[in-house]
Amino acid sequence: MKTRILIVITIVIFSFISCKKFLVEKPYSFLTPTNFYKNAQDANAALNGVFSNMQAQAFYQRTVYVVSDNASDLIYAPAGSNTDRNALTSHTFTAVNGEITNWYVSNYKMIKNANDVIKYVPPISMDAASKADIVGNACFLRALGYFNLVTAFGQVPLILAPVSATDANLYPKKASLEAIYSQIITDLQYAEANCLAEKNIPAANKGRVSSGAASALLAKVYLTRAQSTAAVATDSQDALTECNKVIGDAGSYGLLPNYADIFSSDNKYNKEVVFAVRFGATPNVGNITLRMFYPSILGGYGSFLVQNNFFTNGFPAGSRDVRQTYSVSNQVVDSKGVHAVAPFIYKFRDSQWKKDNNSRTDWFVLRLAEVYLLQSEAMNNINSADPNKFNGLNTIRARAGLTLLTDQLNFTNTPTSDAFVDTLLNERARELCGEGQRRWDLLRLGKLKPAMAAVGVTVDDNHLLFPIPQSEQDVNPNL
Amino acid sequence: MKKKILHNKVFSAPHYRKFLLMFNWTFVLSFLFCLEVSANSYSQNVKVSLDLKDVTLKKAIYLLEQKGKTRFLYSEQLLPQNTKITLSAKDEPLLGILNKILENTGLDYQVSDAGLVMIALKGSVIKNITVKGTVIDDKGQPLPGVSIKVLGTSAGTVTSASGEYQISVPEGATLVFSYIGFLSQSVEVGTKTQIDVTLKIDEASQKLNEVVVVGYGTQRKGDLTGSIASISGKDLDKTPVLGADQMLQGRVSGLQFTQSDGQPGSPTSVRIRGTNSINSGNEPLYVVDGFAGVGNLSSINPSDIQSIEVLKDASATAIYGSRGANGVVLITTKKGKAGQDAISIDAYTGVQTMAKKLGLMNASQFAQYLDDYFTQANAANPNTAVALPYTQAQVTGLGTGTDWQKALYRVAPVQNYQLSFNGGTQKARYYLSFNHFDQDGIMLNTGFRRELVRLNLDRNIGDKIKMGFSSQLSYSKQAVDPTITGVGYGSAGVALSMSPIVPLRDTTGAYTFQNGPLPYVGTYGNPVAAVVDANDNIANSRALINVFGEYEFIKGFKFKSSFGIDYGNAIEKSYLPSTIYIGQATGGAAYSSTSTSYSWLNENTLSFSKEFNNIHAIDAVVGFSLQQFKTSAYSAGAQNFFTDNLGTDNLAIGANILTPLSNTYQNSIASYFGRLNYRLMGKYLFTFTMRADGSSRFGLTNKWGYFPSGAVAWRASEEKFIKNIQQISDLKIRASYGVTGNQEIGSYQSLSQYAINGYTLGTNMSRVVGVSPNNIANPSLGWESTASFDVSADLGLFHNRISITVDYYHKTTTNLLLNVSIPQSSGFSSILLNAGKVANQGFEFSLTSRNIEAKNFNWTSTLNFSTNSNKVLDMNGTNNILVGSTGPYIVTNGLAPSILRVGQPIGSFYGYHFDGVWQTQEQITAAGRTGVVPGDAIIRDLDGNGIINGNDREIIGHAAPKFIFSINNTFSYKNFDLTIFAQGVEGNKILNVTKYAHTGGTTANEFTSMLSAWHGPGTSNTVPRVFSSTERSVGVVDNYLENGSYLRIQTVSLAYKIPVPQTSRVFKSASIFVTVQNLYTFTKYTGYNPEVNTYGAQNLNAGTQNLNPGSQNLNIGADINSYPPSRTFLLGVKAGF
Repeated sequence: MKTRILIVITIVIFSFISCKKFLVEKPYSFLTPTNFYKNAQDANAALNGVFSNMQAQAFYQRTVYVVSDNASDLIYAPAGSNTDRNALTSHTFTAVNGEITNWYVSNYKMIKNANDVIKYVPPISMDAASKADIVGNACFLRALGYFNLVTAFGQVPLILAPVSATDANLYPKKASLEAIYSQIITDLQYAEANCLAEKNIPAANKGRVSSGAASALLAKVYLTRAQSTAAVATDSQDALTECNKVIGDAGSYGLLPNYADIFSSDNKYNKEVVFAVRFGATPNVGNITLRMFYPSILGGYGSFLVQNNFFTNGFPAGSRDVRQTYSVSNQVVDSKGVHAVAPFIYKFRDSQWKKDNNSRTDWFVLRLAEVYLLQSEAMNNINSADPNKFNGLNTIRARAGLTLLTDQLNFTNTPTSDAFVDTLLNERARELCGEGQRRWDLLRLGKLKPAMAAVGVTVDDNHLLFPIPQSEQDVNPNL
Repeated sequence: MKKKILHNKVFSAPHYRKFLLMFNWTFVLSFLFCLEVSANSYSQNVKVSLDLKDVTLKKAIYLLEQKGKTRFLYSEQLLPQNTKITLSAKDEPLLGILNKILENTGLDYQVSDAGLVMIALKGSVIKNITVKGTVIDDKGQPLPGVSIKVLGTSAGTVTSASGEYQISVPEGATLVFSYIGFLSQSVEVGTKTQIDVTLKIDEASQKLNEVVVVGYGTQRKGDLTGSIASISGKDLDKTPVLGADQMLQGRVSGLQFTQSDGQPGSPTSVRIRGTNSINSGNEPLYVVDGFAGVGNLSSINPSDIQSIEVLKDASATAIYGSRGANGVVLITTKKGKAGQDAISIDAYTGVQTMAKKLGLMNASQFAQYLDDYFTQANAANPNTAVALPYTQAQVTGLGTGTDWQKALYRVAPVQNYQLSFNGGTQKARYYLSFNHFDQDGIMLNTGFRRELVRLNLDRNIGDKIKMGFSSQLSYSKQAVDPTITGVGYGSAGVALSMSPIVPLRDTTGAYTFQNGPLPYVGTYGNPVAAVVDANDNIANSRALINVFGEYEFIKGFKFKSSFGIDYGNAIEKSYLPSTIYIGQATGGAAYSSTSTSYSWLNENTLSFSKEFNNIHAIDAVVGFSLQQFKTSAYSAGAQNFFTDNLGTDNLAIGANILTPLSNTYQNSIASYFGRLNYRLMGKYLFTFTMRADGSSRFGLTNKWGYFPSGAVAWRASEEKFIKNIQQISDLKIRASYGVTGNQEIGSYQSLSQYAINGYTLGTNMSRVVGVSPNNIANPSLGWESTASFDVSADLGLFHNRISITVDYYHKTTTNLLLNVSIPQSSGFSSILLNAGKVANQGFEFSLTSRNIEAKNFNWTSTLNFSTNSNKVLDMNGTNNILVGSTGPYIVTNGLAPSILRVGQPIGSFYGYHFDGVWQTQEQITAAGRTGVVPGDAIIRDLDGNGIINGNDREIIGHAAPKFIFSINNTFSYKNFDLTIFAQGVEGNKILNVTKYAHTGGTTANEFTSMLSAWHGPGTSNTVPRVFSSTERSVGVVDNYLENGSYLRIQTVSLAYKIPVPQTSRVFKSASIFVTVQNLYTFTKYTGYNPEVNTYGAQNLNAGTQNLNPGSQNLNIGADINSYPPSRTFLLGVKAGF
């Protein structure tokens, strides 16, 4: 009897093997802080993670132009096709607009990833210059996020470190415009100082932030701040300085002689690109932009059309301006002949596109032509009587084929500063249409209302800035 | 008369009472026990004291029987009526007193060989005669092992396997036939030599003696303290169901069953006593033959199920600790029975038809609609005006066009074949079954097929060791709608959306490629071409094996150890050919994935069972268990195929190889548990349980949880004062309190995780791997615990012809595993915390009544009724959380349709009120509104500020029903059995998102309700003008929220038992049946099916491995393009050999 009891007790005790080890969770398919941020490779992967987010449809694949060009006088979504997009064009959008929410959330996701890199990469023991480059890249992307937010929404929360479960920053208040711009500039200055010049970025890393990209974005930030309530007296001068740095770096950047070459997916990351969101064919994430812009006869969805006003009146030089025929079109040619279609943005091309959601088209955030235009804008701000302010504009016009003497802008055909601003905006529209710039240009230069009036849309003061998304207001009482 | 009195006495005598309560398998023991008692009590030498004063002879004999604790055999007619007896005896031998009593009566007594005291006329000789006969039950089946006793003696016999007996008894004796679970019957032998007896089932004792499976053991129903509903295989046999989980529908009060849609094999959802949890799983724990954590019931064969027990209150579920909070469903499969080998064949076949079609516009109506729409659109946007799609002549000439619902759905066959073998000896028993089930879906090219083998073996080794083996191998294949790429998308929706103007086939006879005319309508592919030419199959293989050994090392102490594994493999293959619309963009797309899951369970228990002095009974078990789950999955895909011939079977020929994915997850649970049942005097019952669970899923500082429970029950009907109330045959009052847990949050939730993503870098556009933070870690993440209180009563009336169970419960779930929405300025949308509180309380009522019990006609009714009210008490200090999404149809941002609000139930719809249609501009101006025109919907301006925005939303309805009910009626007349089963819910709302898609806009065909759209002042106050987008752009509006109450005639089944001659050597039994399922639904709901929960599948996934578990848990009561339900007609046969 005793032995029997002993046997059973032994079995029972034997089965009480160490539970502690049994209950430890073993991660198989993901990284945790215990196995990450250990070396240079980890730092690089983390930086790639900041970039990665930009490839989302809700960010630089689609939302970028839904909230900008589509919310301007350039393009629109056909009536009834999509309530959110239509509301942006007609300026009847509300805080529940999904595209506005996308823009808000996507930028903050990028900022979150950048904050992680900026906090956790510095303690890694690795080559100091590479480390500073990586942190500089993250600083640039964080600045880009906040610049996107401040131009679209005005005052927003300023989060500069990873947020923990117990952090007060989980429920932040809005920061002042001054603080937001100041942080953007600080980050860009770090990036400018620590990122590589474009010419020094290895071929395999094309797409990383260059010091020139930081300069170009700084120029734009200064010019934007210059027109805001947070303006600082030196803003335009600082902008000009930054533009000159970029234009002066001929080793890194140059205007392509042929406008069409900029946009071909067979000529990616060419010398005109200052910073672009990269896309590629499978196994990379492709870009849905072609699908959205192209009419169905070319395999697209025709989700966005060019406003008739811009198509008809936007290119007064007609077909002499190569951008008219190349960038927008109301006809397509296929094997069966020429078909008339509603005008659409045609400038992005991919010879290998398979009429699916994925083209290889990169999305330009900054390209050199724009820096020339920013240079002109800065000069006009500093001294509207400066005749050099026409140089940048004329350089871009000449490249587009407007080479006649009468095509050149000067004080005769553009006498006032206000006329200059209108001309500049028109030129920006021709050069950069479909590149997600228009709304911000019109806002920065105070011309959104008249521009929209020309396409029959009345814009009230409540619709100059986007509202903070309703979902965000619902969960954060501090906003 | 005599017979009756004697019978009653026998029945109420203490040892007989005892006898009746014994288990079947202890029959022999109890028989011996009875013999012993009789032999002791019956003695001719027993001394009796008796005082009789002028009593009748009958009374005198009766009193002597009482005092002497013995029985005499006599015929009442023999006793002289007028004889009065007076005598006084003190400690005299019984037989001496009998002698005195019988003096001068002309009577005498004899003592038979068996010790029977027989009173007879003086001089007569009582002969022994041999009586033979057969004992059968009321179904005509022979009963082996029936005890036959000669009344008043220890003599007796038992029936053989064929129910026959033979016994030698004195003439005039009375035989008592008794058998566990049957009413005893006494028969006066007289001079008969052949006595055949039909024993009737004793509903009262059978019910109390029914053995109910509880966690880690079994209990007699009469001894239960917890709230457990038991469904026996016999009930389940009556009507065929297609899946094991469907057996639960309407059978248990407090249990709500919903199928997410009508697709064969589609997931089902079960809620026991409401929704406890906001973000973790709410499904009960499924335990099959002791193996806990068996998720998928679709691979369990309904015909193999012996019984299902649903454990509802904490007393019953706390033994499952951390997994008990949502209730536990115990499934016991059939085991071999000792005795003759039996073979049975069940087969049925049938057809399914579409139960309901939705009313859509025909071609002519839709063309007119498009013209109307674009006329209004052009007026509103003259800058972007378009030409109207049709001329008036075209409109009228189009006719009815294509009925896409008719084209996509079919009459689909279903069939099921089951062959089983059952038998064995007392030492070794077996059950072996084969099943083939094949159900086509009513949507073309969809269906579910299952092949299954089950083998269960039990073996006794000596008296002390038992071992058992249960196993199941199954293979099932589900063909699903291949176009589904997300909830609410798929062919069911496309069929409703396609323009009726587009023909099914073009002039060449090929399927029309896509919807038209573009760009006036939405771009969809032909749904018929999609389901016919594309395919998506999921093949599931599963092995469920459990072995145990039990050793009784000291009498009353048993050690049991079991080891089980559940191995599953799922392979999904889908192919979209380039020739159809959805495959064109990719040039053909193939996708293949494999998921392998493996879980093992080791359990060791020590149990002790003993009764002391008939007063105390203890039944205790303690144990230890370890369980681990591991899942590995990978998937691969390719696009751009130059040929569609090979489909998924050669991904390498695709020009675009998609990034392959793989992942592995593991979680473990370690547990200690114990239970003590204590029964005092057979009427006071106590249960205490305790479980300690450690789960890998929780934070480092919070791995272990402790779950105690206690319960008391009082069998009031055992008390004298209630026993005297004849009408009450059973009354038990129970109360329990306990704490159970919930760990269904998915693995790795407490850890900080980095997600893997990619980016494109370099002149060659290389893909580089990126890593970014994916959540906010919570190292103190712990259990969600539910404290529940239950008080209930079981009442049996009129010999249990009516039995009633009522329960009241109150549950409070605290430390909710709550996905708290946080401002997205953090870069995250939510964090998982232990925060918040939810309460559920409810009332359950179930009644079974045998209304009519006649010779040839029986009518039994069962009614279940339950209410549950749910309330969110706290959410980490937040009063409101918006939850759920509505898919693409309302607003593209998927604005949350529901709200979690403190003080309100989970599943509260949140939105705007529809107040009619603006009729005139003057009306709009007077109301001070802008941005609307006559014909637009009037959205109620709750805050009265003239602007419609988020502040104008409020709770507009609830997804949870006020009550659920079911009624089952069974009629039997001779060999016919008719079952009518109806069930329903009352008082819930359904968000009909499908209706959003088909009332307004031009992307989809329209419901015929749009024919009465507003087209001028006074034309409609319910349907806005066709161009109005007010409702869909604003969010959820209450005119899309419909009453979801329904009453469904779920099953009507008529069976005929073919009389099989007793002499048949082949057939033992045979019956045929016809069944109609989903015969008719009474409802006001306008969609396909009020029993719908489009996001139900996601609800089930809560607790698996997704990183945002339970996010859809709250998406209750939405109907988005669901696969429609079918009506099924079945014809079947059952035969036993």
